[in-house]
Amino acid sequence: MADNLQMWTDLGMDVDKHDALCQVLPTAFGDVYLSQENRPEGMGFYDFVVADIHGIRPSELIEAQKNGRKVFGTFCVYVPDEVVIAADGIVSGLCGGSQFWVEGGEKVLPKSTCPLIKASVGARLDRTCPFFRIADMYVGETTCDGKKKAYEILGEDVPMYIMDLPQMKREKDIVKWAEEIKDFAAKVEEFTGNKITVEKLNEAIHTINEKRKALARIYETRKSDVIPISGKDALLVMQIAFFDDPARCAEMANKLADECEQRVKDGVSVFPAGTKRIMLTGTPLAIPNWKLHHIIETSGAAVVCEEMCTGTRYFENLVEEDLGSLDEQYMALSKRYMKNNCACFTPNDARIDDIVRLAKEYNVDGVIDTNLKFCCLYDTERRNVERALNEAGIPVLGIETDYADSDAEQLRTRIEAFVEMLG
Amino acid sequence: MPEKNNLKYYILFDTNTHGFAMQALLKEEGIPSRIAPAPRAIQGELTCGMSLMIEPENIGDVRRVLEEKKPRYHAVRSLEGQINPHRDRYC
Amino acid sequence: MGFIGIDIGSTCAKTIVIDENSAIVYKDVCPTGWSSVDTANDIRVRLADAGHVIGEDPCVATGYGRVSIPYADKTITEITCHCAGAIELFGYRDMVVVDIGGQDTKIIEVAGGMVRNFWMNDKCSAGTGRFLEVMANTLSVSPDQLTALAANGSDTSISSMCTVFAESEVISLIGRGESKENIAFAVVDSIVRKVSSQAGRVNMSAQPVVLTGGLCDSEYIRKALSKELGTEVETNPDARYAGAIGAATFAKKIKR
Repeated sequence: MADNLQMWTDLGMDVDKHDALCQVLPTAFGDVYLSQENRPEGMGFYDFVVADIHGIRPSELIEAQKNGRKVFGTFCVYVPDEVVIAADGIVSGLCGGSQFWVEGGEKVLPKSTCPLIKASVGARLDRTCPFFRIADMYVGETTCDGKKKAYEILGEDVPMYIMDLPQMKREKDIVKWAEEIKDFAAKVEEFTGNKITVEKLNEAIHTINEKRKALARIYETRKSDVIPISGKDALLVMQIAFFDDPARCAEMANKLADECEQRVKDGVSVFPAGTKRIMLTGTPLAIPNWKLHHIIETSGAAVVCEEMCTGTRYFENLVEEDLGSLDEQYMALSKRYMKNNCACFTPNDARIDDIVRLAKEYNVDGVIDTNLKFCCLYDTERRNVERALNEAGIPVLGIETDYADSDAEQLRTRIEAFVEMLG
Repeated sequence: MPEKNNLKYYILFDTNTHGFAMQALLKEEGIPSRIAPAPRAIQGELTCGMSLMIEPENIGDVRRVLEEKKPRYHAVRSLEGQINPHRDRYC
Repeated sequence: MGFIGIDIGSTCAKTIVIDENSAIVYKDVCPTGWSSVDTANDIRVRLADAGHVIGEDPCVATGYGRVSIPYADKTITEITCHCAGAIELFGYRDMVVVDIGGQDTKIIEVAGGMVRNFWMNDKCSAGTGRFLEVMANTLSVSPDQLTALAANGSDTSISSMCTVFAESEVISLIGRGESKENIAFAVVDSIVRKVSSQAGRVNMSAQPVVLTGGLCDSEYIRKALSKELGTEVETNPDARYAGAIGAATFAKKIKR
């Protein structure tokens, strides 16, 4: 594993600075994850990935690059992985979820930028994350103003391609997104030197659909009265899904789902009976952001669903398979991706419907609506979320937080009080 | 108060392959182990890496297996107070 | 037998003991200090001096320092305890509790004797006792003196909600020769407006509104808050003990 050091040096990383992150990660992971009892055995794979998070997958990606493959770094669940995979490229998530990177981002961004953007920019510019070094091209999308302007800064340092996501969901917007996907496909073909064919795209669509189905299976088991997997563990699976090879991701998720299904049959729960069931809604929790889940699950409640990009938004809805032309396929992709309900759209009633539907499907006792500080889109949408949940008779707690530890105490008080309130 | 002592043993490895082989071996022998990122305090010259975490009640069995089967590993170390769910230190 | 409730706030630690009839038989308030271990020990000794032995009498801890009371049988958040304490003190089962604490302000909507909803300010001292303390310090008066001065002031305002910026605003008001009364008025006005905006989502006029926390003694604060919220705010001399009283009522439910 001393090889990692060589790899990080070769990637031009700031190895000393990066070391500070390597120091805190095992402790945080131990406190949050290894303190849990009776976890599914299938979590061993994910523990292993985290144990060497900046070693194993990066070295696989570098191997692939040596064989001429290109790595595309993405920031958002709207960028269609299928297109990249059809051109034999690799997709890797790039969202930063650590306070460690925030300071680096604040050197070039206003402080009043959301921590996810600050961390992502900091990870690149401070050279403290291998994934940000490895990606040959970054693919951005216009989901918020903070990101749009941050891409201009990143674009000075790395090849950057931006997809223009519509902000409404009219028929013509779906057509427009299909065109954007087509343009992106042309860019991917040019960058990889590989042609995207109908067959290859169908294969890629199938691969990603299988990954979605596998992740959905795990979530399905969380609807049960018996809670076979903790929220933290499910979150980790989702977070790693953004980085892993899609076929392996599906394989591992299916294995874990098998185990969770068996646990449901056998009545094996990771929480005592009567533990309050919480759904988290709102902004994404990029790896290694485990704060909220951990606080909730050490305050007498369990997280049973995440209505987030690192949650249901990542796997709900499938792309139609086996279409006969690229144009039909791009349209099918657009239709699926445009079903995602991000707060950047207006109006966004479908997200409110999703939240109420999921709260019922997962039989939750309460909802915690969280938003990353300075994300005005989700913050503003909270009003509609709260109103709809109030009407449905589902208690809701609104929380605004960032990646810092400093508000952990206040969050504990609020979350414990909320759990006490649920009775 | 959280268990301050909370002693755990960690088996360290030079490569993941050895770690997985060890995990499989211990499983065969019926000895529980959990994959954990190797705590920095005992990692020495190794970088961010994998370890197997062993509960104190099982360390005797582990040592016997290490003795008998001679699997490849770097070292066994013990450490206290590594896991504290109420520390509220994230990363 | 007594039932002990301890509320470790950011500024003061409040201790209450009630008897089987829920009558208060002991009350004590002391500064929280910088060492929660010392504070916890101190409280234990004082309770013992008054004949209430930890380990015999059930004890519930609340407040942000609740986890620092190692001898508590149980910890419950201050939200739930303030609700229970306010029910004891004011007798309403439906009301809004406004608790202005040392480092946070809570608005608790109580329905049918239970917490229905609550709002807390973010990690910021605007609209809290801490804000008042900092400003009193800048004016070289005590917090009590500040609220008394405010009653005679008028027509001055502080625009910033942030304690740090507001402090410099106060300093420039002093530099401009504004009277202490007017500056004190502006400080209280700022707190009251902040609390009111936090309570914006609750229907205040339909139910009683009660004030708890360390500022409950100030008639001027009560009046200013009533004016801003558009409804008569009630308080009680023991309202600073609301959290501890609530904790003590939960201690009664502990089975030995």
